Order: sequence, then C-alpha cells, then structure tokens
Amino acid sequence: MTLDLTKEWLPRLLEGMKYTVAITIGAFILALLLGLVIAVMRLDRRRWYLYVPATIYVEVLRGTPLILQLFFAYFALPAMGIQLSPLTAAILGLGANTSAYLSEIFRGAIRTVDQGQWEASAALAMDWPTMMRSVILPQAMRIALPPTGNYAVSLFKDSALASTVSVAELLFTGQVIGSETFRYMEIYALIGLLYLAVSYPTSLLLRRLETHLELSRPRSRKKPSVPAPVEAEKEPVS
Amino acid sequence: MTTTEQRAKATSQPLIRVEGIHRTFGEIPVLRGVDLDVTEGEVAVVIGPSGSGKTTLIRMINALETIDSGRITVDGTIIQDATNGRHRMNAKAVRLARLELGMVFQRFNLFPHLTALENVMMPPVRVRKVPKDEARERALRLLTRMGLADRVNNRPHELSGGQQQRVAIARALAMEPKAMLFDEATSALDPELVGEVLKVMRDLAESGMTMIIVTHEMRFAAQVADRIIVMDQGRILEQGTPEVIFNKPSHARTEEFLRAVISPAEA
Repeated sequence: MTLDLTKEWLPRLLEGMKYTVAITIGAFILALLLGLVIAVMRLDRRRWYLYVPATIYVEVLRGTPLILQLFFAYFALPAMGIQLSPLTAAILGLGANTSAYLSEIFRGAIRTVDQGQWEASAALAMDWPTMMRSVILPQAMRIALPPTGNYAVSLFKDSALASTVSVAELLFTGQVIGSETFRYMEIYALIGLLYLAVSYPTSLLLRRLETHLELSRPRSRKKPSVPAPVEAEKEPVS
Repeated sequence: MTTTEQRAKATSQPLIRVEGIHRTFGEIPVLRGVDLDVTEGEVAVVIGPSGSGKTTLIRMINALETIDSGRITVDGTIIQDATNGRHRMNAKAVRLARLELGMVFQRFNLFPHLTALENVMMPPVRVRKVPKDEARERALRLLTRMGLADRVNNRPHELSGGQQQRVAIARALAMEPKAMLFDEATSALDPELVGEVLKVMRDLAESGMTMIIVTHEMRFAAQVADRIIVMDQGRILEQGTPEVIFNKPSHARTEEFLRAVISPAEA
C-alpha cells in the first residue's frame, strides 16, 4: 500500500491536482470579472436594459443545478456548433455559476458603502466611472473580501464536478485509479486528504485576513443619528 | 437645451441664482417658493429652525437634491429647470456647476480608504486632470493652511472630527471652486472642536471666497455674513445685514427663533 501510494498513486493524483487548481483559478478569475460586471449592471433598476438581462442571468444560474450547467456547456453547446474542450467547458460552467453568487456579494458590498461617499464624489464633479473606480469600489472590495474568499474555497471543492465532463482532475484521476485497483477506501480517503490539505489552510488564511480587515476598518462606517458621534475625543487609533 | 442658450450670461449676473423653488418630500412641503441670488464674493449665511428647508436648499444648488418647480442657475449655466412642469437636469451642466462649487458636509464624508493628503489630491487629479506633482503641492499647501501639516499621512479615522472637517474643506478648495457651500459644517462636532473649523471658514470668508453657509452658530453668522437669510417653514422669512437681522428683525418669528438659539452668554 505504502509503495503503491508513493510510487504510483501520488504522482498521478498530483497531476490531477494540477487540473483542479487550474480549473479553480480559471473559473475564479472569470467569476470575479463577470460578477463585477453583473453587480454593476444590477445597481440601478431604472436602467432596466442592464438590470433585466443581468437579473435573468443571476436567477437562471442560481436556480438550476450546477451539474446541469456543466453538462450544458460540454454536451449541449456542441449542438449549437460550439465545441469546447472539457477543461474550457468546466471553467466556463463553474465560472459562470460562481459569478452569479459573487455578483450578489459585490452588489451588497457596493450598497453598504455610505451614502455620504456617493454624495461627496458627486459634489466633487466626479463622473460615474471615476466615482466607482476611485471611491466606491475600493471600499466595497474590503467589505466583499471575506465572503468572496469563502466562495473561492467552495469553488475549489466544486471543481470536482468537472470530473463529470471528463476533465482529468483530482477526483477523476482517483476514480480511474480506483477502477484499476478496486481499493476505493484508500484512494478516496487520500483524495479527501489532498482536498483538505489545500482548502483548510486557505480558510485559515482567509479568517486571519478577515480579522485584520475588521480592525483596520474606519469606525465611522455606521450612520449615526443626528447628534453626531463623540469620536473626536478618543485617541487616534492606528 | 443647448450650451449656448445656457450660457447666455451678463456680467452683472449673480454667481448663483435660485428662482421660485418648490419641493415636496412625499406629502410634506419642504420648500415653498424660494428665490435667492448670491453674487461673487458674497458670504450668505442661512439660518432658521430645524426643518425650515435650509439644508435642502443648499443641496439643490449643486443638484444633490432635485426641484419640483423653479430654476437654479450657477455661473450662467442652468443646472436644474422645472419652470414649466417638467424637471430637466442636464448632466453636463450639473458637472460644470459642481466644478465651480465646493461642498462641505455635516458628516465630513472623507474617503476612508485614503490618507488626508490623498483625499485632497485625488479629486483634482482624477476630475480636473491636474498633474500629480502639482496636485500634491497644492494639497500640502492647503492642508498646511488648515493647520494639518503634521497629519497629511493619517487616514480619516485617525483624525478628530475637527481635523476631518478641515481636511474636507481642503478637499473642496483643491478643486479651485468659485463658491463654497457649507451644510451645517460644525453640527456634527464636539463643542470644543467647533472653533477650529469656524476659524478656517472665517479666514476663507476674509479671503473673498463666495460662500453660502447653513449654520446654527449665530455669533459666527453675525461675524462673517454679508447677508443673513432667515428661513422658516420652507420660505425665506426675511434677509438683511447681520446688524438688521440680529438687532431689529422685522418678523416676530425671527425674533422668536433668535431668542431661542442665542444664549445670554453669546448675545
């Protein structure tokens, strides 16, 4: 067992892990970009020509199974003349799915930015893109970072679904080894450990980052009622 | 509406012209017919009880608030027009007007992710396309003038309320506006920090800046104002020099209001 494990299984599994990581990173980058665009499109209901299509996008992706979306990308798109490699289909499916969830996080974070920030930027004659880029998004990003990190970890685990569209990632590789050796117990336990070896440290890292951000966040985020806060007397906090 | 029409401009025209403004929030009338002209170099101080419409009025001048009827003109450019029932606001005209109007808010509204220096530097660089070096120099000069030379690298949450408000004033001035709007700039401050902000505002008034100031600080109003405007229930009750308003107001309601806000120590 030890011999098999180190000599034969592990190199193959690590090869699979490469695909797992590639899918995660590719899908996550796609999700970040799409998520941001969708979030911005959904900010203002009055701009219905942006709001409506973006909302349909989010609801369809959140309301249907992820595995169906993957099958659609890999098996159904060829019928429309779009032939994707397994890896591309997996990145596209997982990325689109995650973008729907991330867009909601981003939209919430943008809305959390104090009304006074929008007004101050407007009063300084900023146009909308400048306001977004220089004032709103830098603040929203901080708010969105912890939940976004959690989605990155989820995405890493969900990438196992790419095995269903025959990407030779970690789980797929394990299944192949299993079917060759019939030692499913050991192989699946090993795969589980490999997933955990990546996701657990990442989660810990994120939690630390979250605490760090919480501390350095300006205190005056909450809107006080009219007689304003007595923050002036307190010693400056760095 | 074309720019040429909007820019039909005479030399003697006031810098800011407010004509026949009405505004209702839901069922509640907030402004009920306000006319106001502010000429270049003038310091106009708006006083009046809470809910009299002072803040709404000042926010309309740079289009943070819309109007139901009337018209607002800044530097010859119509920025909001609702004179014939339809509200029209030209985005380009609004931006032009906002370039000419610096605004200071009650709650400071500094950008929390930027240092004091960056708060003052960023808008000129991003909006007016001022070269970075020049903007930095200008920001340092302004922050020094505000007495904040040693706080330039602090973030807003590391500053006291009075310091934050002075940074906010510097940020508005860095855009080199033609006029400044102060919306209860000291109302959110602890009493002992009010003075430092009023001093900066007084200096600014003395330097010839056109200012519209909404405030509850009556002594300050008396000192800096060229004209006091008394508002009550969405209307301008009366206006005049500080001497006239504070010594012989023509409305009983003005007298009543002044008696209520001016403590014996202040008078």
